[in-house]
Amino acid sequence: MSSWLRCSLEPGMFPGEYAVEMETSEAGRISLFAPEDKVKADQSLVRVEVLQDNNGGGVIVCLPAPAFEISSRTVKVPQNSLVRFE
Amino acid sequence: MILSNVEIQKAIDEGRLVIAPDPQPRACEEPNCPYDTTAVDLHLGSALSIPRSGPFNYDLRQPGIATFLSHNCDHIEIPAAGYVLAPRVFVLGRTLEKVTLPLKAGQSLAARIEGKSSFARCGLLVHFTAPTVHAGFDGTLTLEMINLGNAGISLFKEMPICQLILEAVAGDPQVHPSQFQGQTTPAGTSNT
Repeated sequence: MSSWLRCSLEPGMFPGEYAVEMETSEAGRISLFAPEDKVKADQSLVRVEVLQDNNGGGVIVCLPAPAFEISSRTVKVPQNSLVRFE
Repeated sequence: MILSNVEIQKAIDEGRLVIAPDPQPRACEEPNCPYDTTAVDLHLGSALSIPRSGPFNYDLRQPGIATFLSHNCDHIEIPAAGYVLAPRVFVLGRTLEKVTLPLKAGQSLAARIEGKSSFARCGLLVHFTAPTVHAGFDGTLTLEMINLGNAGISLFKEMPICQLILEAVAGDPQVHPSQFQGQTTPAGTSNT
Protein backbone atom coordinates (compact mmCIF):
# COMPACT_ATOMS: atom_id res chain seq x y z
CA MET A 1 0.00 0.00 0.00
CA SER A 2 1.30 3.46 -0.87
CA SER A 3 0.46 6.67 0.96
CA TRP A 4 -0.03 10.06 -0.65
CA LEU A 5 -0.74 13.52 0.68
CA ARG A 6 -3.12 16.07 -0.79
CA CYS A 7 -1.14 19.12 -1.90
CA SER A 8 -0.90 21.84 -4.49
CA LEU A 9 1.63 21.39 -7.28
CA GLU A 10 3.35 23.80 -9.60
CA PRO A 11 6.33 23.37 -11.92
CA GLY A 12 9.59 23.58 -9.96
CA MET A 13 12.94 25.18 -10.73
CA PHE A 14 13.95 22.37 -13.10
CA PRO A 15 12.21 20.18 -15.66
CA GLY A 16 10.82 17.08 -14.00
CA GLU A 17 10.55 18.82 -10.65
CA TYR A 18 7.51 20.17 -8.79
CA ALA A 19 7.08 22.83 -6.15
CA VAL A 20 4.81 21.18 -3.59
CA GLU A 21 2.76 22.96 -0.91
CA MET A 22 0.67 21.34 1.79
CA GLU A 23 -1.11 22.06 5.04
CA THR A 24 0.19 20.49 8.23
CA SER A 25 -1.39 19.99 11.64
CA GLU A 26 1.03 22.10 13.65
CA ALA A 27 3.47 23.83 11.27
CA GLY A 28 1.09 25.68 8.99
CA ARG A 29 1.62 25.60 5.26
CA ILE A 30 4.94 24.17 4.13
CA SER A 31 6.65 23.65 0.78
CA LEU A 32 9.35 21.55 -0.84
CA PHE A 33 10.65 20.39 -4.18
CA ALA A 34 9.85 16.86 -5.31
CA PRO A 35 10.82 14.91 -8.43
CA GLU A 36 8.02 13.93 -10.77
CA ASP A 37 8.16 10.28 -9.75
CA LYS A 38 7.09 11.31 -6.24
CA VAL A 39 3.89 13.08 -7.28
CA LYS A 40 0.61 12.30 -9.00
CA ALA A 41 0.25 15.58 -10.85
CA ASP A 42 -3.23 14.84 -12.18
CA GLN A 43 -4.53 14.20 -8.66
CA SER A 44 -2.46 16.80 -6.75
CA LEU A 45 -0.83 14.19 -4.52
CA VAL A 46 2.71 13.76 -3.21
CA ARG A 47 4.15 10.45 -2.03
CA VAL A 48 4.88 10.11 1.69
CA GLU A 49 5.83 7.37 4.14
CA VAL A 50 3.53 7.03 7.14
CA LEU A 51 5.64 6.89 10.30
CA GLN A 52 2.87 7.01 12.90
CA ASP A 53 -0.91 6.99 12.61
CA ASN A 54 -2.58 8.41 15.70
CA ASN A 55 -6.08 7.31 14.70
CA GLY A 56 -7.78 10.65 14.30
CA GLY A 57 -5.12 12.60 16.14
CA GLY A 58 -3.13 13.27 12.99
CA VAL A 59 -0.58 11.28 11.05
CA ILE A 60 3.17 11.72 11.19
CA VAL A 61 4.67 11.31 7.75
CA CYS A 62 8.06 11.39 6.11
CA LEU A 63 8.14 13.75 3.13
CA PRO A 64 10.16 13.07 -0.04
CA ALA A 65 12.44 16.03 0.76
CA PRO A 66 12.93 18.46 3.66
CA ALA A 67 10.40 21.28 3.72
CA PHE A 68 11.91 24.75 3.59
CA GLU A 69 9.82 26.20 6.38
CA ILE A 70 10.61 23.53 8.99
CA SER A 71 13.95 22.17 7.74
CA SER A 72 12.69 18.64 8.23
CA ARG A 73 11.18 15.71 6.32
CA THR A 74 9.02 14.64 9.25
CA VAL A 75 5.76 16.44 9.91
CA LYS A 76 2.29 15.86 11.36
CA VAL A 77 -0.61 16.19 8.92
CA PRO A 78 -4.39 15.93 9.27
CA GLN A 79 -5.81 12.43 8.82
CA ASN A 80 -8.12 13.56 6.02
CA SER A 81 -5.22 14.87 3.91
CA LEU A 82 -3.85 11.37 3.46
CA VAL A 83 -4.83 9.09 0.59
CA ARG A 84 -3.91 5.43 0.51
CA PHE A 85 -3.74 3.18 -2.54
CA GLU A 86 -3.57 -0.60 -2.50
CA MET B 1 36.82 6.51 5.44
CA ILE B 2 37.01 7.73 1.84
CA LEU B 3 36.56 5.04 -0.79
CA SER B 4 39.22 4.46 -3.43
CA ASN B 5 38.19 4.21 -7.07
CA VAL B 6 38.39 0.42 -6.77
CA GLU B 7 36.07 0.47 -3.75
CA ILE B 8 33.68 2.87 -5.52
CA GLN B 9 33.41 0.44 -8.42
CA LYS B 10 32.94 -2.47 -6.00
CA ALA B 11 30.13 -0.55 -4.26
CA ILE B 12 28.45 -0.02 -7.64
CA ASP B 13 28.77 -3.70 -8.49
CA GLU B 14 27.27 -4.66 -5.10
CA GLY B 15 24.36 -2.22 -5.34
CA ARG B 16 25.50 -0.09 -2.39
CA LEU B 17 25.88 2.83 -4.79
CA VAL B 18 23.98 3.52 -7.98
CA ILE B 19 25.16 6.13 -10.47
CA ALA B 20 23.04 6.26 -13.61
CA PRO B 21 24.35 6.34 -16.26
CA ASP B 22 27.19 4.19 -14.97
CA PRO B 23 30.52 6.05 -15.12
CA GLN B 24 32.66 4.53 -17.86
CA PRO B 25 35.35 3.59 -18.69
CA ARG B 26 36.56 2.19 -15.39
CA ALA B 27 40.20 1.55 -16.17
CA CYS B 28 42.28 4.62 -15.43
CA GLU B 29 44.59 3.98 -18.38
CA GLU B 30 41.68 4.45 -20.80
CA PRO B 31 40.93 7.90 -22.28
CA ASN B 32 38.23 9.95 -20.55
CA CYS B 33 38.13 7.70 -17.50
CA PRO B 34 35.92 9.57 -14.99
CA TYR B 35 37.64 7.99 -11.98
CA ASP B 36 40.39 9.65 -10.01
CA THR B 37 42.09 7.78 -7.18
CA THR B 38 39.41 8.67 -4.62
CA ALA B 39 36.57 10.24 -6.62
CA VAL B 40 34.42 9.88 -9.68
CA ASP B 41 33.50 12.75 -11.99
CA LEU B 42 29.88 13.68 -12.61
CA HIS B 43 28.64 15.65 -15.59
CA LEU B 44 26.52 18.75 -16.08
CA GLY B 45 22.91 18.17 -17.09
CA SER B 46 21.31 20.29 -19.79
CA ALA B 47 19.00 22.42 -17.61
CA LEU B 48 19.94 25.58 -15.74
CA SER B 49 17.74 27.57 -13.41
CA ILE B 50 18.64 31.22 -13.04
CA PRO B 51 17.16 33.03 -10.03
CA ARG B 52 15.85 36.49 -10.86
CA SER B 53 16.67 39.60 -8.95
CA GLY B 54 13.77 41.68 -7.76
CA PRO B 55 12.36 43.84 -5.02
CA PHE B 56 12.09 40.97 -2.57
CA ASN B 57 14.02 39.10 0.09
CA TYR B 58 13.95 35.39 0.70
CA ASP B 59 12.39 34.43 4.03
CA LEU B 60 12.48 30.66 4.40
CA ARG B 61 9.97 30.80 7.27
CA GLN B 62 7.27 32.19 5.00
CA PRO B 63 4.85 29.55 3.69
CA GLY B 64 5.32 28.50 0.09
CA ILE B 65 8.96 29.42 -0.46
CA ALA B 66 9.41 26.54 -2.95
CA THR B 67 6.66 27.96 -5.14
CA PHE B 68 8.08 31.47 -4.76
CA LEU B 69 11.51 30.29 -5.89
CA SER B 70 9.97 28.53 -8.88
CA HIS B 71 8.04 31.63 -9.90
CA ASN B 72 11.13 33.82 -9.69
CA CYS B 73 13.63 31.98 -11.85
CA ASP B 74 14.30 31.53 -15.54
CA HIS B 75 14.79 28.12 -17.07
CA ILE B 76 17.23 27.56 -19.90
CA GLU B 77 18.53 24.56 -21.78
CA ILE B 78 22.25 24.86 -22.40
CA PRO B 79 22.68 25.35 -26.16
CA ALA B 80 25.22 23.36 -28.16
CA ALA B 81 27.42 26.44 -28.30
CA GLY B 82 27.45 26.55 -24.51
CA TYR B 83 26.21 28.98 -21.87
CA VAL B 84 28.58 31.68 -20.69
CA LEU B 85 28.35 32.18 -16.96
CA ALA B 86 29.20 35.83 -16.47
CA PRO B 87 31.26 37.04 -13.49
CA ARG B 88 29.28 37.27 -10.23
CA VAL B 89 26.28 35.44 -11.69
CA PHE B 90 24.64 32.66 -9.70
CA VAL B 91 22.81 29.79 -11.36
CA LEU B 92 21.55 26.38 -10.33
CA GLY B 93 22.42 23.31 -12.36
CA ARG B 94 22.01 19.61 -11.94
CA THR B 95 24.17 16.61 -12.55
CA LEU B 96 23.41 14.50 -15.57
CA GLU B 97 23.76 11.44 -13.37
CA LYS B 98 21.21 10.23 -10.87
CA VAL B 99 22.88 9.11 -7.66
CA THR B 100 21.36 6.64 -5.22
CA LEU B 101 22.85 5.81 -1.83
CA PRO B 102 20.68 2.95 -0.56
CA LEU B 103 20.35 2.49 3.18
CA LYS B 104 21.75 -0.94 3.88
CA ALA B 105 22.45 -2.13 7.39
CA GLY B 106 26.14 -1.82 8.12
CA GLN B 107 26.96 -0.94 4.52
CA SER B 108 25.50 2.52 3.90
CA LEU B 109 27.48 5.14 2.07
CA ALA B 110 27.35 8.93 2.14
CA ALA B 111 29.04 11.27 -0.29
CA ARG B 112 30.34 14.76 -0.79
CA ILE B 113 30.29 16.77 -3.94
CA GLU B 114 33.40 18.76 -4.71
CA GLY B 115 34.47 21.10 -7.47
CA LYS B 116 37.23 20.45 -9.96
CA SER B 117 40.52 22.27 -9.62
CA SER B 118 40.58 23.22 -13.31
CA PHE B 119 37.33 25.17 -12.94
CA ALA B 120 38.40 26.54 -9.58
CA ARG B 121 41.38 28.22 -11.23
CA CYS B 122 38.93 30.09 -13.46
CA GLY B 123 36.86 31.17 -10.47
CA LEU B 124 33.94 28.74 -10.75
CA LEU B 125 32.32 27.32 -7.65
CA VAL B 126 29.98 24.40 -8.36
CA HIS B 127 28.82 24.16 -4.77
CA PHE B 128 29.44 26.45 -1.88
CA THR B 129 27.33 25.43 1.04
CA ALA B 130 25.63 22.08 0.63
CA PRO B 131 28.16 19.41 -0.37
CA THR B 132 26.77 16.50 1.63
CA VAL B 133 24.83 13.72 -0.05
CA HIS B 134 23.19 11.85 2.79
CA ALA B 135 22.83 8.10 3.06
CA GLY B 136 19.43 7.22 1.61
CA PHE B 137 19.56 9.97 -1.03
CA ASP B 138 18.10 9.23 -4.44
CA GLY B 139 18.13 11.74 -7.26
CA THR B 140 20.20 14.14 -9.32
CA LEU B 141 22.47 16.52 -7.44
CA THR B 142 21.75 20.23 -7.52
CA LEU B 143 24.78 22.40 -8.20
CA GLU B 144 24.97 25.90 -6.76
CA MET B 145 27.21 27.56 -9.31
CA ILE B 146 28.72 31.01 -9.20
CA ASN B 147 31.50 32.59 -11.18
CA LEU B 148 33.82 34.44 -8.83
CA GLY B 149 36.38 35.08 -11.55
CA ASN B 150 36.78 38.15 -13.71
CA ALA B 151 35.91 36.57 -17.07
CA GLY B 152 33.00 34.53 -18.33
CA ILE B 153 33.16 30.75 -18.07
CA SER B 154 31.60 28.60 -20.80
CA LEU B 155 29.42 25.76 -19.56
CA PHE B 156 28.48 22.87 -21.83
CA LYS B 157 25.98 20.12 -21.21
CA GLU B 158 27.55 16.79 -20.33
CA MET B 159 30.90 18.34 -19.46
CA PRO B 160 32.63 16.93 -16.34
CA ILE B 161 31.58 19.50 -13.75
CA CYS B 162 32.22 18.09 -10.30
CA GLN B 163 33.53 15.08 -8.46
CA LEU B 164 31.80 12.78 -6.03
CA ILE B 165 33.68 11.50 -3.01
CA LEU B 166 32.23 8.45 -1.29
CA GLU B 167 32.52 7.70 2.40
CA ALA B 168 31.51 4.69 4.47
CA VAL B 169 28.94 5.43 7.19
CA ALA B 170 29.96 4.14 10.61
CA GLY B 171 26.95 2.60 12.35
CA ASP B 172 23.38 2.63 11.06
CA PRO B 173 21.41 5.87 10.82
CA GLN B 174 18.12 6.08 12.68
CA VAL B 175 15.40 5.97 10.05
CA HIS B 176 12.01 4.46 9.46
CA PRO B 177 12.42 0.73 8.67
CA SER B 178 10.78 1.18 5.27
CA GLN B 179 13.68 3.40 4.23
CA PHE B 180 16.10 0.50 4.40
CA GLN B 181 16.69 -1.18 1.09
CA GLY B 182 17.97 -4.70 0.77
CA GLN B 183 17.75 -7.65 3.02
CA THR B 184 18.09 -6.53 6.59
CA THR B 185 17.38 -3.51 8.73
CA PRO B 186 19.34 -2.70 11.89
CA ALA B 187 16.42 -4.24 13.80
CA GLY B 188 16.99 -7.45 11.89
CA THR B 189 13.70 -7.43 9.99
CA SER B 190 13.54 -8.09 6.31
CA ASN B 191 11.61 -5.81 4.02
CA THR B 192 12.47 -7.13 0.58
